[in-house]
Amino acid sequence: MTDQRRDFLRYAGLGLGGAALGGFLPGFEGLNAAMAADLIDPLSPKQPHFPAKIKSVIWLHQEGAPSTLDLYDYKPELVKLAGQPIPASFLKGIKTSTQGGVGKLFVAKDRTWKQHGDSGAWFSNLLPNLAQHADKITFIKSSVTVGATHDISILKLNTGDLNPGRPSLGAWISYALGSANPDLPPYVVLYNGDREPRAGSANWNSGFLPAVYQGTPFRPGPNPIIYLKGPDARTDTMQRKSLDLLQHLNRLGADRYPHDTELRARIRSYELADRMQVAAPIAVDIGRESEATRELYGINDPVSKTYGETLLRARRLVERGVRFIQVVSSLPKAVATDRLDWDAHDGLEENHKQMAQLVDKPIAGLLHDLKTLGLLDSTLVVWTSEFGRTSWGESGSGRDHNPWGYTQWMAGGGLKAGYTYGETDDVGLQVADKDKAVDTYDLHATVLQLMGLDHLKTTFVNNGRSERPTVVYGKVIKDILA
Amino acid sequence: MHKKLIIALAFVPALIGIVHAADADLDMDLMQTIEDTNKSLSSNIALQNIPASTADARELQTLFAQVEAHFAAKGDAADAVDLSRKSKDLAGAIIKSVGSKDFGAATDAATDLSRACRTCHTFYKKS
Repeated sequence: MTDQRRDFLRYAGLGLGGAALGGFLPGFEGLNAAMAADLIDPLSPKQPHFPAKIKSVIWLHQEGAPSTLDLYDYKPELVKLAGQPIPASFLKGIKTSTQGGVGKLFVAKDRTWKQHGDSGAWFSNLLPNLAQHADKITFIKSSVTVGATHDISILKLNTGDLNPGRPSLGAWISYALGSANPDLPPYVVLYNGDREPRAGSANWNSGFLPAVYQGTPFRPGPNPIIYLKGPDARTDTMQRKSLDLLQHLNRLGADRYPHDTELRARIRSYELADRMQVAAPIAVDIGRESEATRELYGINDPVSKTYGETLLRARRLVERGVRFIQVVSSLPKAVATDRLDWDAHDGLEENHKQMAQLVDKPIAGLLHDLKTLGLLDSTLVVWTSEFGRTSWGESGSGRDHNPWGYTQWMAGGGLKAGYTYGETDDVGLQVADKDKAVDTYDLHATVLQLMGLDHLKTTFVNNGRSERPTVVYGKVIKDILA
Repeated sequence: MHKKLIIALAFVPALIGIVHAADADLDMDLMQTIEDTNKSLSSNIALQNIPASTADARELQTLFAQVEAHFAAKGDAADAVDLSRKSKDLAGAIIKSVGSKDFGAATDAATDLSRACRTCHTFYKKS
């Protein structure tokens, strides 16, 4: 292939062109011959290791780290001891040089608790809508991680490492299973805030895997994919004609050079981009949803509106076969507050009230909607965060970071619904039984298992070393599997 | 970075040099060597490389014997002694599994060994 030909292919996309490819087709910028050989059709569907229980994952990252002691983990002993110093026995084995030191045990004054469903799961008064779905949920009340700072622990939550460079869980799934929908990326990132989430693309990148497997961020608003929409002056017919000509020329070249894998990869990429221009806006167009559905997702409430819209988009992507949808929560500017997320080092009561109002109805709506549509059995909803918050108070009205024991939950196919695994100690600080501690690696291994993937056999050789999603750790939480 | 910090806190004051006596402090290089060798072992098992897996597991046996001796001499760390011994035994099990080409069992044992490392570091990262 001559340089001229290469340049022609690179720039002849006109309206679609380089910007579009670089913007929403991860991995195709700077494509070289060696990469292209691997990218003929890297997203073609691949068989799992064993029959999958689920087809899609909705990964609900609660950014900022909610206090699960104020949402799910009811501790009567903490209520009893509130205002007193924490007994030394609860601090055994942990290092507590967190930012705010160790204060007195803390309970928010407006907190009330009630059991729900046949499972009798505890929910606080902050989550009245989600509580109605208690029997759909599998709680993991013995979650642990490394709690340094938000950025580092978020990275570990998503990639399994404290440093950037490893692939995110969604990237591993894209790599192992390919795409179930040739018109959409298999891994999409959604967020409802006004800005890209903390630490940005490091949390959905593909690390040492080919870049084609990284997440594609869909922004809030009517144009979710940057550079997807063509210029106003350019009609669909004009674009189609340009692409047809390009396709024709490419095919001529492909006939002359049948072993030119780079050219075939480019042909595929241009056509995928064209198909996505049609498929992606429809996939996220919630204008087609009924008023009842909008109400179900809390879209009519100004606080929960953006998160509700985001989760409704997530459901529409599930319907279209997107394998991994990573949703990051934060408060948009439209909500009058100086807070962005769950990070309540002070003013926890006010903060968590707003954050719970942001997510409670939309998540409840999502679970109800998936169930009604018959999708909950083939979808996994994961409610997760970078760490939890301490039993002791900080600044008199907040809580500090807690990586030693907190709650996450999952709901969907292949799980024991209405079930709780593990527990924290009597004041909700550490896991009660270290053998039941669930680290991020174990969560990843379990999600992969439900997708039909053995985390130990999902491997990629990088620089001569065989790598896997769970680094050198990871155990499937077998007790929660149905 | 964080892991190094944990190790530093766990084993301060660590001496730089070779751990040759039970009463010597464990140094960071030794723990880093264990971490690196463990990652190499996991990769070599996945690649079904018998000689390299065996060599890594043998090296880990030796290193964990040093760690066990250190904590046994220290006298107040029964958990660490147990976990070091468990890790050493797991390395031995890996050698056997790899020798019989049972890479599934070797992978499981290597994962258990990695978790033992994490458990030990959780216990010993006290301030």
